[in-house]
This record gives sequence, structure tokens and C-alpha cells, in this order.
Amino acid sequence: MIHLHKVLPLKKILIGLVLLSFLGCGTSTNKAEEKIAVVVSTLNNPWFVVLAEAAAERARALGYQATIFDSQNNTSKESEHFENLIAAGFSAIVFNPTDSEGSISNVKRAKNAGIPTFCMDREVNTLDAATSQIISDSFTGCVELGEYFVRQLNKKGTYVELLGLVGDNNTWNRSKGFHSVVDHFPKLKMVAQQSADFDRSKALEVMESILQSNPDIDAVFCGNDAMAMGAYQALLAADKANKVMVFGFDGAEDVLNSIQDKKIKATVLQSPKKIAQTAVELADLYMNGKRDFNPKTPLAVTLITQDNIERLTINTTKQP
Amino acid sequence: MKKLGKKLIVAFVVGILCYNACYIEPLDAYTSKKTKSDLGVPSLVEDFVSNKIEHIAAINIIEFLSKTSSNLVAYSQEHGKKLGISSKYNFIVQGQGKVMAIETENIVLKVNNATNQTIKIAADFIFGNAIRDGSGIASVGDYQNTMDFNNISVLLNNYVREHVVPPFQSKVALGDLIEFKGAIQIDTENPNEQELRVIPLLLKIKS
Repeated sequence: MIHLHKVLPLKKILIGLVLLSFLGCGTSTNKAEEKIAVVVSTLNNPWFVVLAEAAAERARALGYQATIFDSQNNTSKESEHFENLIAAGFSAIVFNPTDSEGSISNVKRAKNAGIPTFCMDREVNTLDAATSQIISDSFTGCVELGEYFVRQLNKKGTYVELLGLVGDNNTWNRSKGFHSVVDHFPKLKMVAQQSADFDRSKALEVMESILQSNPDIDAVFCGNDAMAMGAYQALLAADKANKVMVFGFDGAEDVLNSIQDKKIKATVLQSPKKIAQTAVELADLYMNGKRDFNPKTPLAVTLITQDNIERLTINTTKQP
Repeated sequence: MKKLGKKLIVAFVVGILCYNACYIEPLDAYTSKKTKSDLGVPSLVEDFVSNKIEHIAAINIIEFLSKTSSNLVAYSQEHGKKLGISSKYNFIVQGQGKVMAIETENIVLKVNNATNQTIKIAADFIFGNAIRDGSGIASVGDYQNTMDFNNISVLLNNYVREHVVPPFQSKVALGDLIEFKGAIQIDTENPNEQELRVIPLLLKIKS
């Protein structure tokens, strides 16, 4: 009988095994056993529902198990999800953050646990936490929207701005893109700027309140389509819907229909499906061994107006 | 055997600590990352307008018009620059043209090619990312907050609006021969819906 420990000393065998355990870390095994977590800021907005479902659908199509987690626009809830999915051994996270600063610690915790995170639509303000971030080019979309806004108002008039969540970079990228154009026209005056948290009901309330003190406005610029619909409802109730132009952002189906019906002036179409699918495909590449990713990939958006909505081919991107 | 066990535990702990404490990356990548994040947006733009505009490579406008009309997509993919996933390509172009019209928002030039094609030089509504993305002055991946990256475009456009257009606009007249260098953007998905409009970086009246 050959005694292995006599041929190779036991110490060396054990040290070799320890080293092999380091080398073996992170090697993927069977795709069907691997799980992708889809963590979204809220499922209370149809746009994010499409984002989450498109991500889960693409993950399943690629052979993974997929679970959707709703953070309910709450960073604490989001932290709980991250703790749970780290403990549950998820292989990757596709993530729509609730807060560009407040969500950083969650992404870092996942990274420290060896789980890659791919951000969708919204970014976190750091380059060393997420593996990659797929973001809509909101700023450029709102520059184009701003130019259209200025031309529609003939460079003069009063307007209101409804902002999204103040902790989200998209809120400020959209607002600053818009103002980088509109502020160059001194006869355009902003009479009120208030947050409505990207929420339709809140936008309705905020707009009703603003109309009390500013009944003679010419336009409303909203940081997303849900708020545009809320603002439009308030204007309709105040019998001002035909006089005041409403501009949104997202390309939600109800707003696209309203543009066709000449109720809303314009929006910027960003595709939740494309963003989600790209993020999941990057996660798949990661699990197949790729490690060199662009830290950020902006996705172009399209200005949709009453002038071009008929001409533009809105294929699968025409989703809420 | 007990001693060996202790040594293995120590080796394991040291291994874990070293694994998490050391990161190896090429020196040039580290230096490049450090330089870009340390250089603020205003300094980057100031350096570009003061030192780089004159020397930045540009495509001759006649060649550009000829190649884009024969195969827009292939030419754009080979010679244009775009941001992320997009069908909008940006180029830096230069050339000469004769002033055919002076409009509120544009100066219309006729270039000296076979079809005497016209292009527009922007004099108002100077917005967008054509200069930033056409010149490749910065990469979005270098900025923690994308708004800093977007501010590059805002400052570049402000420079054009304040320093390039006004001195030119006050002197230009119909029939002048103009030498220009600037940025142009083309959307390969909707090429017919747009006008060829150059955001100027340099403008000179030759005669």
C-alpha cells in the first residue's frame, strides 16, 4: 500500500488545499442554480414595474432564477433586501437605487460579499461599488426638451417645475438639462419649483396648491410622466388644461396617448426594457467570467412631441 | 499536527487580509484615473479651450459630406464618436464656405464641393454634447456623478456662446469666405429629420 503522506508530506498537501480553496473562489457552476436579484426603488409606478419585470424576464430567458424586490422608495427597506439576498446566496444584483448617496453602502456590502451589482436607470455616486451602471441620458433628453419648450413658448412666459425625488441624481440631471437651455431666455420666468417625488397623486396636490397662488402660468415642466399626468389632472380640474402646456419625461404609455390626443405637449422616451435587458446581459457576462466593464453606460433617449409622434416608430420601447 | 493547524489558520487569515488589502492595476491606468478625477471640470474646459482647440484633429467638411452621403452608418461607426448606447455620432470638422444667409439662429454657408451643398454654423441655440463627445475631451466613466460630466458640455457651450460667436457675428457679411472648425452631430437613425449644423469652435473671416 502506498502512503500518500510519505510520498508528498502532509503539510504540503494541506497548504496546497488551502491555496486551491483561494483559487476556486467565485467560479460559477450550474446556471439554473444561480439566482439574480432584481431590486427596484418602487413598484408603485408603472415605468419601474416594466423595468423590474423586463429584468426578471431576461434573467429567466438566460437560464437564471430571478426574484424581484420592491424597496418602496425607502433606503432602509432597500438595506433589508440587500442583507437578505446576500444571506440567500444570490449570484448577482440588478439594481435600481432609491438614493444616489444613500444606496452606496448597500452596493458596497454586496461587493464585499462577492456579489456584483449592475445599476439600472439611476446611478450611485461612486465608481468603486457597482460593477457597471446603465443609465438613461436624462440630461441630454432634457436639453432637447428644453429647446422644444422654448420654441413652443416663443421664448417668453411663466412656468412651473415639478421636481422628482430630491435624493435622486435623475431629478437633478433632468432639471439641470432643462435649465441649461431655458435659463438663457430671460423672458421665460419660473414662478414655482416644487418636488412631487415622481408621484402622480402628489403632483396633483402640489399643482393644485401652486395654481392657487399662480393662476396665470403658461407651462409646466415635470421631471417624469407620472407627475405630468398629475399636473394635467389639476389643470383640467381648474379649467386650464387647454391654456397651459404640460411637458413630461419617461415615455409612459398614458402620456404618449395624451400627446397623440394633444393634451400633453411632449415627453422624452427612455426605454425601461432596454435598460433592464442590458443590465441583465452584463450580469450574465460577469457570471461567465468577464471582469472588464465600463463603469457607466448612458443610454440615449428620444424627444417625443405632438409633431413627431406619428412619424416615430415606437416599437417595443412604447411601454409605460 | 497542532502546530501545523496553527500555521494553517495564520496562513488563512494572512491570505484573506492580503487578498482584500492589495489591488494590482497597470500604472498608466492608475495615473490616468487619478489625473482625470483630480482635474476639476472648469480646469478641464479651460485647458481645452486655451490649448487644444487649435490642434484637435478634424475631418475636412468636403470629405465628411461626401462620405456621409455615400454610407452614413459605416462612416459614422468608423470615424464618429458616441456616448454609450446611441445612434447619435459626433465629429469634429473643419473647412471653408461662403456666407449665403445670416439667420437669427444660424449662418448659412455654401461649401465648395461638387453639389455646392449648404451647412449651418450655429449662432444661437448652442446646446447639446457635440463638442464634448466629438472631441473626446472626457469619458463618463471618469465621473462619480454624471452631472459633473454633463457640466463639461454646459461650460463648452457657454464658451462658444460668449467667446466664439459674438466677435464673429458682429463682423460677418453676406458673401464673406469663412474658415471654420467645430463639432457636428448626426443621428444615423433619423438622418433626414435633421439639418447639418456645426457648433463652432473657431471662426475666421478670410475675405
